[in-house]
Amino acid sequence: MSTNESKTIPFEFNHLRDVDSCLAEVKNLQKQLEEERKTAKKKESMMTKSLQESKQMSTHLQQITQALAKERKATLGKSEKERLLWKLIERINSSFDLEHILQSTVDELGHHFKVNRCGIIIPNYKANKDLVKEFAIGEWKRPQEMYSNVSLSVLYTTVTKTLKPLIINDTITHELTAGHLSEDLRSILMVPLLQHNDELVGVVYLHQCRKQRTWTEDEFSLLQAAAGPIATAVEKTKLFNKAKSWAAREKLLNKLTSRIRGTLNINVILERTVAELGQALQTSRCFINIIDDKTSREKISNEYSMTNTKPLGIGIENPLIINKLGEKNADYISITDISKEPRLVKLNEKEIEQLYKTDARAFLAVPITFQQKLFGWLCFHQCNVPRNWTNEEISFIQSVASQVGVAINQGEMVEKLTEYQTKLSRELKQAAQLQSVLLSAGTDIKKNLPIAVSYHPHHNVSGDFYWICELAPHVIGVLIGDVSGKGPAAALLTGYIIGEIKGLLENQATSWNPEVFLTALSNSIYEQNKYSDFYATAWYGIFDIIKGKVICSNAGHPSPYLIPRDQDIINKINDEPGVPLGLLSTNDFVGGFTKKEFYLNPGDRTIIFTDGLTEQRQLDGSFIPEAWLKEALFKLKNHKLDDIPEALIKILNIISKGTQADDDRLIVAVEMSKNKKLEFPENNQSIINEKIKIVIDDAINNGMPKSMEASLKLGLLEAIYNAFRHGLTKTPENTKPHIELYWWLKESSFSCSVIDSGVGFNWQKAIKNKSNIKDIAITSEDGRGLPLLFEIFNKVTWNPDGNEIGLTLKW
Amino acid sequence: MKLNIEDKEDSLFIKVGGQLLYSEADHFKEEILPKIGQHSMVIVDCEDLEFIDSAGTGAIVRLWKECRMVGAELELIRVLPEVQKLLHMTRLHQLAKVTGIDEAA
Repeated sequence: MSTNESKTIPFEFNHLRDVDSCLAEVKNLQKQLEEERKTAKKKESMMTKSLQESKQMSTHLQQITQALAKERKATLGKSEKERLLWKLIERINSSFDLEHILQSTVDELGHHFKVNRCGIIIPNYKANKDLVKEFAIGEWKRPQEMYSNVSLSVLYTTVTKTLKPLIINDTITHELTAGHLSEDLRSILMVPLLQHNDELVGVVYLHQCRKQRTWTEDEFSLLQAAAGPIATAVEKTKLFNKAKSWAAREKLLNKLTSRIRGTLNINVILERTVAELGQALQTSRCFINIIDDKTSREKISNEYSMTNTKPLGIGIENPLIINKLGEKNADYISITDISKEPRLVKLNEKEIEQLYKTDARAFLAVPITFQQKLFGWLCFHQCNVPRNWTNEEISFIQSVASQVGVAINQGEMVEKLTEYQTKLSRELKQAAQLQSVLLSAGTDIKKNLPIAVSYHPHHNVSGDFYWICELAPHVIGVLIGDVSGKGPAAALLTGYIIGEIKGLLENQATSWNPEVFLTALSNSIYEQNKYSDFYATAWYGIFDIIKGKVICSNAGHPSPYLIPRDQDIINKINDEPGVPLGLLSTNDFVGGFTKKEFYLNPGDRTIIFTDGLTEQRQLDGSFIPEAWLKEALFKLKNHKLDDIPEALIKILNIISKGTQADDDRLIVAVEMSKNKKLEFPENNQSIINEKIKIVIDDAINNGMPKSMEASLKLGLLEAIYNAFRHGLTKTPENTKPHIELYWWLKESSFSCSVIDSGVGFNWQKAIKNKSNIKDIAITSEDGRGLPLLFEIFNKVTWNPDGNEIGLTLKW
Repeated sequence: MKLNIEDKEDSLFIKVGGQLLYSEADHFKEEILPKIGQHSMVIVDCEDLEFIDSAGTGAIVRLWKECRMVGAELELIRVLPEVQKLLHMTRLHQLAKVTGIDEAA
């Protein structure tokens, strides 16, 4: 601390009163000065110490600054290396264009290392060719052909074999290069490019020309560090290209697969397959060798060949020879180069000659199989040049071959299916004909009860059926039914039902009793239903046109509509529909089928139908409400009976706006008729003769041949005599004895019913035990009446009670 | 029915006309059957027989039986075609000889 500071001591002259006091004052001052001096000295000592410390710090700072500068310099060097590497990495990340990446990289590295040349070699990059990119400056630039062959050099081979860097500071003295290289190339640094699994993908090299250069540790480590990203770029691009190629093949495979699944024309599929595969794989030929199932001979079914390649020829026999070279059941057989193929020794001379005849150098054959059946081979030829079929290619072709196998199998199945369909269609037609024949026996509507029918089957063979049965000339049974389901199976059940119906109609115990009839039919179907789940609905009504009486029973069928002629009402018959036929055993449902009875006047109509008429859908898919039918029946009330069924179908088509029928449609319209009648109150020969003459004259007037007059007269007489002799005598006491004759004339037929007031007779017993009802005991004086009736008339029937006889005569 | 019965030597000649029906059958039998037994031949002339029913043919069967019992032969001659047809229906032609009106006796 400096001592030059002045200090002012305060002095008060007013206080100088004497010497002593002055002296005292001086002493005081001296004391103060002394203290002040001590304090200054202390300060000076402290300052000196501080100055020394400051000098030490300055030295240390200088040292730190130097160290920092050194460190900064090192850091700057390092970041330059990192910057370079980052730049490489960023470039690699931003592009898949390897050629561009490599070119930029060699340019970058060349500039950075300030070398004459920098290059990268990627062997077997594309189509077995090396990819080489080189940076060079000035006079050291060289033609591409020259550096393209670098991979053949000893140095390159050394690096790729050892997978270690090669550092040649002076080629003139280095053992590998001394005397081998041009003197211009003096220093070489070559580093292998290794991908993550240490697999070699190429090399990167630096050339210093003319002037020798000793490669520093930093240069070596930088190049080695750069080798990593470059290898990654190559690997990434290779993977990308592979993925691209897989994607392309996958696309092609999908295309072929969807084509195979999209068409059943096997030839079109195979034609396109060979063309697309041939183009995709750039092969000279692609063809399919199909093996004939019966002869085991192989033929070319489809072939694609490049424009400059001669096709082998479709349809020619072409036994695959190369399959002798592979294992049995091999996944594929391939030959890279026929001229270097050692397995050819397995072939005879002729076979080898045939292989050479194809001009192919490389061969590939992949079996076409499906479920272990060999259909043929998918074959490829590469002409003139060898070809190493890659695993990817083979695996891709195998995938296609597998699809082709599916296609061929599919084609064969289609062929079989078509054959089966043709057969089925033929059989369906036969079934339809058979059904038609079966049904035709019951479809004759020319009865004494006016009937009109409209029948629109949904399929060739139908599930709806009807049966019109003349139980007697004046008693007509009308059966209508609907078998569940449609098509052949329903038709088969219909066939079965018709057979059963025929049997049941033969038996009066069932045919004249609707509820008994339906019960028997239901039980019969139920028995059959053990093996299926079909059922049928049915309505059976018996119309007696003399009494105007209808008895009916319903098994789950839509109830018919009743249209009285003289009233403005149309209602459904209250027939209490029971369980459909065949669903349950009649023992299992209480009450069984109900028998209903109602009466009709002449002109009254009944409309019987199946659910195809009432369960028709509209365009929106909903059912048309059944009310339409009632309204339509009102509209058609005054139409002729014959027109009604078809008119109903037409109205339904209009209402449904042309929506296709979902089901069979069947309508049976019936009208109660008026009848011609004669009464025979007494057994008077001349009256009987007279009345019979009226009937016979009517018959003759309606076309009966005159020659039949005597027969008809005899028949009618016999019937009436029988009524008088055997029927009338048994008339109950409270009933007036009478005999009535009703007769009807239709086209070529006469029919009549003779009804007496008696209780009837056991006609079943009368005709029982007679092998032929027409047989007459010729020596017997009586008993000729019945045989005569059967002799004269085409049909003789009685009601179950035996007091109504029905006779039909046809001409 | 019209009935005319004549004895002609060994034959009984019966001419029947009109209709031989249920109502006349008994009358036919009552008139003819008592006369059977004295002739070796019974001839029924059917030229005027217009119609016959099962009872009528029954009556003829009875006649045939009587003839057979006495050993006489029954023959129906000059039968009209319509009647002949009816006789065939009742198989009468299998018992007696039946000759049509246009056939030689």
